[in-house]
Amino acid sequence: MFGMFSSGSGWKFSSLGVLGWDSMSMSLIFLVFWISGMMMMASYSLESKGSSYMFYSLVYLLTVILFLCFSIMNMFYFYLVFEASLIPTLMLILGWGYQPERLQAGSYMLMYTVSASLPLLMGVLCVYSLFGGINFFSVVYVDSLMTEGIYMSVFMLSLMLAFLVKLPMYFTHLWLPKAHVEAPVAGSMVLAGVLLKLGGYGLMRMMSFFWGGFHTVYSVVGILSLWGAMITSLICLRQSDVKSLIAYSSVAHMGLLIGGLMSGVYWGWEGSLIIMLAHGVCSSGLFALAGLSYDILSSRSVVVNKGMLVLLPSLTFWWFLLSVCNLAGPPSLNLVGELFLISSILSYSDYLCFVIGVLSLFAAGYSLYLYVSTQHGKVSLYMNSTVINLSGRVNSMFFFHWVPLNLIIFKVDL
Amino acid sequence: MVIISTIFSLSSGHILGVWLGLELNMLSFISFSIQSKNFNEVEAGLKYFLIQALGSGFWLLGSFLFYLSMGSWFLFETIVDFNNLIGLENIFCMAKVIMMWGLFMKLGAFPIYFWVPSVMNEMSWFSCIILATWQKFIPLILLSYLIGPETFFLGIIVSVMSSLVGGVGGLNQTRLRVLMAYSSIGHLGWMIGLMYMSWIGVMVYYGVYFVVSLSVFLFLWLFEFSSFMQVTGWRMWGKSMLILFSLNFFSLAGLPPFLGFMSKWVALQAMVNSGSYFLGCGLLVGALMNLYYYTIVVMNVSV
Amino acid sequence: MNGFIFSLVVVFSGMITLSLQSVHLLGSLLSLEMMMLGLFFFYSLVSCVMTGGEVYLGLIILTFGVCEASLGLALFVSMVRSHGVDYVTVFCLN
Repeated sequence: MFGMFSSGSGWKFSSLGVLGWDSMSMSLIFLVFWISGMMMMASYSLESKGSSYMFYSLVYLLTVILFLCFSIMNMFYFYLVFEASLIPTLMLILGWGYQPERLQAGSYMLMYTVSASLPLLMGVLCVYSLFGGINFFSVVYVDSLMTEGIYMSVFMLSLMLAFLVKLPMYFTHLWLPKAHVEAPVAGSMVLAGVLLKLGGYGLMRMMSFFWGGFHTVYSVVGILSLWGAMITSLICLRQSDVKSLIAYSSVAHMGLLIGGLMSGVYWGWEGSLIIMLAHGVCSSGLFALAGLSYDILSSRSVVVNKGMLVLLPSLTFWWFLLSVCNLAGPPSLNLVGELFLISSILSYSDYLCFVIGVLSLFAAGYSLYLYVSTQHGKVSLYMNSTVINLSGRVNSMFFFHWVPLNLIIFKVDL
Repeated sequence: MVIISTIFSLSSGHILGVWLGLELNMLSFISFSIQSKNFNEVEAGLKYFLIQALGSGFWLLGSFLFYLSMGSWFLFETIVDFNNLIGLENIFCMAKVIMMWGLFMKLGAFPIYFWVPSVMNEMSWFSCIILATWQKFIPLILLSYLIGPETFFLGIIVSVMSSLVGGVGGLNQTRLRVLMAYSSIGHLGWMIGLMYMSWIGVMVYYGVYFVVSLSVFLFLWLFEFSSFMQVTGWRMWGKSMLILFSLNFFSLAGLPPFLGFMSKWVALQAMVNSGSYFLGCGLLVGALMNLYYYTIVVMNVSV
Repeated sequence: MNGFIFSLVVVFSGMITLSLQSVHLLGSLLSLEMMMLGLFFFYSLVSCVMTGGEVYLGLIILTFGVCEASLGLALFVSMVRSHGVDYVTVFCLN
């Protein structure tokens, strides 16, 4: 049931026993290239600041690392490049962030991610010494006897913890809003768009590696993260910082994703992949919008970001479309993903319908809050309210963010 | 002279020859570390001298006891046959423990580590480099001859505690030399722990540590700052220099894509293969704290 | 046997006084010397007991002990020249 995803509807291709692709990793690789193109387009304004050479080389480096990360089959080398993706991100935040607080944000990110991934290293080495193979595509059948016991729980948790922090699950999410708030536009785009998906991808790989028994750890993690997602969507409503709001909203979405993944149903897997793609593009677009507003208004606060409808009517259009996608409005890929996830979670337990109800309601709530509070209302006094026209570059960038969200829905059997 | 004495000490099979090498090493190291007749360096040299003299005293005592129990001076050619040692096992084990104790003292491992930061704080960067890298070589090799199942527990305790001390001690430091001293204590803990698992692993770890810490020390020496106060920021250096600097530190911390990770990888692999998971976990906690204060250094430089 | 125990007592008391010396640096150098002498004494007894024990090795030990002591004295002198006193407490211990 679990491993069907890597063998059932998808296809596999591997070369030299080192790199390998199936439909899951291929779709995420497309996401990587798509988002990195968007990053280049969004940070066009750096050209004038003179440090663009190093910036672009970091972005290229990150793209290559992420490509390798999604295509390496060996678990150990996967760990290696998984960690390697941290360094260019850190450099992006430290080198091109806005405030001095970026140092604290960077060290938060580094410490959270590294301390959670050291158990993964131990776990991978243990897998090697216990099972003798660490290839993702070879599946270990775990007896139901083996899945019991505290040692096995610790073992499973140590394999999953790094990805849970990366996603991030509620309780380990504190680094994410800080990093997003301090990162430059391209940094937050790649962070929300691809790096979080790296966590989801790793989680799915680890779970499909242990094809077999349903483990107690799964239910604990799933229910905790669903509960956390509910809390987070409440937290979103009282954020005054636009970027921080978007960051918390991605924590909430990822909580739903973990819940669906841990329910142990095939639909949960399918839905997780779809919502990873959808949320990757959607939140990246929202961060690009927030970054553009910051460039114009020099503030991320919702108090200052008022009445953008008057200033930038065409930008409002994109805000509207992407907010609707973020709340999983009808013709979007997010909707499909959330439906899959919700039905799989409900098949796990009916009592979770309360949590999911609150979660979806407030997801709509904070998306609307984000849209309304930035677009409507009176323009700040210090802005001279002349209409600014967006360049074709910016418009096309948002167009490319929006297109996959509403067109892939025609072909969701990825 | 330092190099010659090292070779002398390691190539002699006789325990007293080893002791002579250790003494010569100490004499020559002190004589070049106080060359500038600086106020502080003399003090550092004196502290170093007292500790090393005590350590070699322990080594000498242990070697006499060894000779008394085994009837042989040759540490690594003697096959320990406990059947011939009836009544003398206790003396033999005591001899081993005393010799190890002396070496721990000379290395600056857990129970007697206080001298390392205070000595390194007052030395020149060049002496610091020698102290942190080259001076570890003889005691480590000798330690590897001494270890055995009967001292496993002692070694594990010393290793984990050194790693933790190396982590905790550096947390609130504002002086870079002291910080580097604590980091060298932490790495020492890894090496001592690894010694029980794999000999090749120790050599790999030591080699990688040598190279990486050499580059970090050279960076610090080049820019000659002894505390955070004097770090005026990356604008003086340029961005690419800053990136190189921080990559060096991350490499010393053992973050994955860098050379420093190689040593951690080898160490953890050996530990997992021999089933000592808790040792690995303890060492990793120490390494994490190491990473934390390296991060603080990098962040402070990049303001 | 009494000689063994006596020499070990000398060695250990030398080590302990060296470790606990907190007033004069000269005192710690003296206790270092005492430790070396105790070791020498111990070795002479060991070489008498064991078959094939070489007495001349004791001379080497003695020589290097003296060497160590002279280095200690040299450091001591330069310390006194730079600091003016030989108190252990003037050390910056951190």
